[in-house]
Amino acid sequence: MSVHELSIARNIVEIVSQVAMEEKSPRVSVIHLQIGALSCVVPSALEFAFEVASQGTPTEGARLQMECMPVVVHCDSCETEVALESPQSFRCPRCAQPTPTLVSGRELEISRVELEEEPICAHG
Amino acid sequence: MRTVDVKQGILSKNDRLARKLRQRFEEAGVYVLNMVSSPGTGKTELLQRTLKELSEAGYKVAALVGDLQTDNDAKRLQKSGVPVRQITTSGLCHLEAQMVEEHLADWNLADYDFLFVENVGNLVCPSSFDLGEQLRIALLSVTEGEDKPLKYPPIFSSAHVAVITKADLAEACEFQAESAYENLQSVHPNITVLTTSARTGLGFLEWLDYLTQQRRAWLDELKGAAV
Repeated sequence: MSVHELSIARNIVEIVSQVAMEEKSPRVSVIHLQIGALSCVVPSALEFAFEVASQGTPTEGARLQMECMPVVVHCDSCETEVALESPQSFRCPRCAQPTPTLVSGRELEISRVELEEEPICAHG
Repeated sequence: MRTVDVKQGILSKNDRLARKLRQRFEEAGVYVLNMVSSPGTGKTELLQRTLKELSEAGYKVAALVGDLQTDNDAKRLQKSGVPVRQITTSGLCHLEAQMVEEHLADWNLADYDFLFVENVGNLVCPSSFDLGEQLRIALLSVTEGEDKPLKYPPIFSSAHVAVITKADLAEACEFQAESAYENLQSVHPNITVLTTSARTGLGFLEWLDYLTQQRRAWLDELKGAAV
């Protein structure tokens, strides 16, 4: 594992724990992430790092649901946005022109979380 | 069970701090460069000669040097007589904006024209962490093989300029410059590519020219924005 996944996992834990606290939820069950193809994140490494970083927090045991986002560029010749087949080749898949204008693909975002409710106290 | 929208960047804390740093650098008029490459590409060697030549040309320069464990690089660079500080990351594979901020401490940034930040030798991790720099430089040495850009697209696509280093060894390594250039253009169309040897000084005129021009263009842009 390259250690930046641990930094990323710690940031996820920090942000999501804060959300859980504000929402008065004791436990987070699922964390939905958007991970760009140019973000350098290896999903299995992030899962492992998250397991370590989440211990003892409301995010412990939560599942990471990762949506991998393609690299999208703007092709000046086709005057449109297109998704690249591979980040190794910044060329428009339609017209084969070089496409230096990156639109998206570096995402490292928490889109939403699924929270468990506080158990209602029967004697309350 | 309840779903709550978060829509927040995972590294938003680092991004916020980097924006603050960038603003601070702009106010001070110091041009900040983030140097990234794999270990052993010759970042320190390139930096050593760059610091020396820029200061001989009358520029005020300083450097922050990231390393996992040692302060060997800072010691090497201090020989060039300019202020150099070591950031030891204790195993962390990249620099973050907070480390840069902490190590700037009492430096009066307005005293400097250029501040170089030598990142930890790593081609993966540093790419997602903005340090508030104006220019990101990715190094590729002739000893590494021409296909490095294809193996690590994110770092080369996030850099503004690629510097090929150790060019004096190109022949011995049978380095295919054309192929390296094509691969760089493939992951980052129109990227500027410069070729240097810190040992012989090959390509240094162009390299230093490039740096001073970039800084001047940045200063002009800042002035334009202020009017």
